[in-house]
Amino acid sequence: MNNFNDIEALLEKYWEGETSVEEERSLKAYFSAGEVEERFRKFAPLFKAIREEQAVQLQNGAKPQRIIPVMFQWQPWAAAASIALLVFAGWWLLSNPDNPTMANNNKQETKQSDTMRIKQDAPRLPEAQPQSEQPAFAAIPKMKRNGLFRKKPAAQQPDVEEQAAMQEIKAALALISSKIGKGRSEAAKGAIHLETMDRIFKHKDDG
Amino acid sequence: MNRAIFQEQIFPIRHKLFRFALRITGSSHEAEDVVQEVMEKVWKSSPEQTASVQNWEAWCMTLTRNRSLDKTRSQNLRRTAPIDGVSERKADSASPAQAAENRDLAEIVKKMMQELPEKQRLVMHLRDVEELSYEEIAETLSVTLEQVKVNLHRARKTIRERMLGEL
Repeated sequence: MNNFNDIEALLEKYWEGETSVEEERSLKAYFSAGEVEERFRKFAPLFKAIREEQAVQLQNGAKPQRIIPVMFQWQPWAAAASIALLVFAGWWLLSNPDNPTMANNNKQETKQSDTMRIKQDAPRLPEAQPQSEQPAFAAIPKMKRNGLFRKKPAAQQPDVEEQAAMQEIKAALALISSKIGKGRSEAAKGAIHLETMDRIFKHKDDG
Repeated sequence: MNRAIFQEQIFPIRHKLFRFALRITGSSHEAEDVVQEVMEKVWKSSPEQTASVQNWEAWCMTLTRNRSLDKTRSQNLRRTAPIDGVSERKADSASPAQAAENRDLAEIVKKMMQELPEKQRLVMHLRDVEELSYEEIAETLSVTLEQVKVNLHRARKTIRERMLGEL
């Protein structure tokens, strides 16, 4: 702004509180340029003070800590699924005390996202459903090692309740597996930097 | 509180909230506490609490104002004392001697601004420093448009007279 009459007129409007935001920015720009006419220099400290106030920012006194908001709480899911698993396992054992232990077959895992698949080395029950119609499951190595699954003799007829129980147990385990994986990836994606939020989650006494 | 809204609209204005709290409390330490408390409150707010919010920034500024005033009144913070914790971020483009003189005078003007009556001080801060519109200032301070204009005029007039008389 080179017209000093404009500056004088703007200043008069400014003191009266009649300038627009844009006009006030023009005044601030003029006074920050460094070349202020003599008759206006007495007002330069005001606009310098305003400029310095605008530059004030929240100080990072504490070391910034990354706080990862856990958007998906997988622990309750895991706990609930574990309890359900134990209940069904207990029911299974009580209902079928004489079933032989299943043998360890080839462990060929198949990848899947939302659907469930049967492990190809899972024990095949006689007259079971066709492979394509069976739901998919994740690997259950621990359960096998503990001997909770037992392989039925080929000659035996499949027990309907037994099949249903096995499928529910496997479904519960697959749920645990999928939720844990999703929770971890969500937590990693949801990382945000909150420079002062470290104090929010700490206990702080009011002064 | 919706995480996207918090990240995109609330968190970025923390510096503005801090400056506003600092203007009210006069203490950078207290102002930091205020900002943390406001951020926590906003983060934990329920959908019912935020259903009627149309302007997130104005809402946060109002929360900041209320919390800052509570702290000031409960702790009898001296707002006439020079504001601590203020850091200069921009270099002056004038000559070194002039810059030094301006810097000292600027500190005096800041003190003058801090000594204004509360409403005038806050209105001048929100207009001159944060460049809010009259409507936004009225909403933040819960006053009328007319009161904003009157207080702004009085504040600037007082600063001008003091500058002419003391500097």
